[in-house]
Amino acid sequence: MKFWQKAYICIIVIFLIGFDITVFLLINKSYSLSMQEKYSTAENERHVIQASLQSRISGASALYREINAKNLKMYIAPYGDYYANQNIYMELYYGDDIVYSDFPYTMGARPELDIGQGEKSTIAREVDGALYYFVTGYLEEPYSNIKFVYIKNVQDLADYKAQMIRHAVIIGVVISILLSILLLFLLLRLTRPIRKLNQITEEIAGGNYQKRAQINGKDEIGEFAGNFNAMADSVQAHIQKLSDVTEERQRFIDNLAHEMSTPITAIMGFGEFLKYANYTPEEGVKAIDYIIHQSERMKSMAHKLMDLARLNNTEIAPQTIDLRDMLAYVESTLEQNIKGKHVQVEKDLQVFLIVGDKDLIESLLLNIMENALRALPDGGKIEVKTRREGDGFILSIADNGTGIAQGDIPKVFEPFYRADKSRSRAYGGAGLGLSLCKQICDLHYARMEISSQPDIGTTIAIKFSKFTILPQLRDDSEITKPYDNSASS
Amino acid sequence: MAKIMVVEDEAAIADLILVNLRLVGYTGISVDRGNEVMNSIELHKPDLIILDVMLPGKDGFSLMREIEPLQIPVIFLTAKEELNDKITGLKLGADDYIVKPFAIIELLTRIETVLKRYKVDGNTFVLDNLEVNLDAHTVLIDNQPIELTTKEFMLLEILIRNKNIALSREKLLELVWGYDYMGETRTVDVHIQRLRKKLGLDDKIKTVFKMGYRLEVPR
Repeated sequence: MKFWQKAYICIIVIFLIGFDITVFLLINKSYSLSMQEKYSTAENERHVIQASLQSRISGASALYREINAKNLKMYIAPYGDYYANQNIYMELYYGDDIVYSDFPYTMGARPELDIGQGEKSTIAREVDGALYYFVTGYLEEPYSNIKFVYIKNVQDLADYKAQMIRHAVIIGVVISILLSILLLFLLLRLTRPIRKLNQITEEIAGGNYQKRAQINGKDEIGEFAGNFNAMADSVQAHIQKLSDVTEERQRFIDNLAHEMSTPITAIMGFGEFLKYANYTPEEGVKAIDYIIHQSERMKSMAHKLMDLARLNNTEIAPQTIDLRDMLAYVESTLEQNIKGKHVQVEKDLQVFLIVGDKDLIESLLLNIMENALRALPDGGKIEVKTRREGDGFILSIADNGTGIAQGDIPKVFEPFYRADKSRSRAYGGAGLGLSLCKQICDLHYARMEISSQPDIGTTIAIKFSKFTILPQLRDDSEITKPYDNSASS
Repeated sequence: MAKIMVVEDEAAIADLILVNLRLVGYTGISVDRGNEVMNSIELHKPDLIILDVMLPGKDGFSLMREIEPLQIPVIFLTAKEELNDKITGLKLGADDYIVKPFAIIELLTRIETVLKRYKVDGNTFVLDNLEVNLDAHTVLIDNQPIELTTKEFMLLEILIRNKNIALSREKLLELVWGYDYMGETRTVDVHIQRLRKKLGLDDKIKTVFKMGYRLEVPR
């Protein structure tokens, strides 16, 4: 059963019970008040009649000195006649004998008559389908053996009560109908946000994570909707992140498979060729050269991949590095390429003593220099500069080579991306260098920026924080821990 | 023999295909950039094109659209993850596709099948005084017809089509007798002996140690 249906039934039931009890109590109270009033009126009336009758009897008895049934009847008859049309009847007993009665209906037992000397009884009871009020009492001395019974028809009160109850029932039914219509309308309106929210929850559960509740208001449902939206936001953000990571990983694997397919095809193919073909000595040498070269390519790819994997969960070992020595070493490593292409390397190092992981910084320089060399034509130029900026310093490596198209710059940090596919493949690049460099920079809390223009050249600028400068050379040399968390911001 | 153009930017793969093509007697031309392909086609008029999908300059699918009206058969060369593209490739009018990494025999077989369909080669094989017509299934020595059984002829045809390449006994059994043939590789040896004797090819059909047989033809 729905919430609004439950609320509806509860409210209607409570209302009906409350309404009925109230009406019942009201009617009863009203009835008893009316009854009391009626009885006290009757009491007064009886008193007046009885007093009048007594004075008449005493007046007459002074004349006749004798009282008997006959003259008593004569005394009371005028009262009886007079009050009969007001629905008031009376009886008179002399001792236990009835002297007068003008009550038109037969009565059964007479409990009201059963009173002792000097007592008085008041009884309301039903006779012949109507309610009567009986007041019985004795006259005062010296006529205390005369019993006077006053009977009044009070059926109109009972009729009134019955009518009130009928009214109450009719009013109750009408109000209940009106109330249920109003209540239905109100409840449906009040619970509409809940239904809406419910529908949105279903949609989100069905995978439509962008869906949000459009519910305003400061009540609990409004608050709930707000919290719900916040929850949906964070769930969506998490899912997005997860799917981004999955996508990136998938792309990485796809790229890896693609990169591997060429060397594998070549190695397999030339191997097969050597095994089955009737080849010339020159062809044999060529095949073996290809096999060796492609195996080297796979080896370097595997190494870089391992480096990448290692960097993902590594801590750096900071030590003092002299960039001048390191650059000289990198140049000697690349000597063959540099000389072969007649490349000129210019250096301008304003900052050269830094703190960092020696192996990683070396790998960083080597990769960037390699990339620059690949992009350069014969006789090109590479400029390596460091200069202070803010409280840190910038290392920039610029070449005047082929450059990268504007649209491709954001992609260069992705594993396996290559600015010029065929060219750098021919030079043995795996397309992993820059993603490796980025990881190294991240580990040193440095930021790598790349700017490039086709046919003009590429500049890679790495902004290191002050913690990468040797502490003695820093302005605030009291900070000795080079890599605390504050450096990461 | 047919002239085949290899469009592939990886020098290693292009050379691998070329040496094998030359081995069995095709003429091979290689092009490494997509935007040079159309010029090269005009210049060399190849009988078949082996086309890589990922190319610098212009990709294989765009090239296919331009090649299609020329009625030159095309075999696509794709990496495995581009396999979904094969539908695209074939819809564009390519005759076949082959996935990297591939075995060289597989590539040669496909080339042969496509060329057969286009009836490019003049299907006669001549070696010294031996002349084999692969369409008419006739074998002549000094213009005298020689009787060969069906299996013997099939074996000869496979050796000719893959000349200068050693074929294992298992491979030959599979190609001539079919996958489900339950016989032994000795069957192959027996048929090779008969071919050598009937056609006087003792020194041409060589037994390659531990590998199988190879029809060696001067190149």
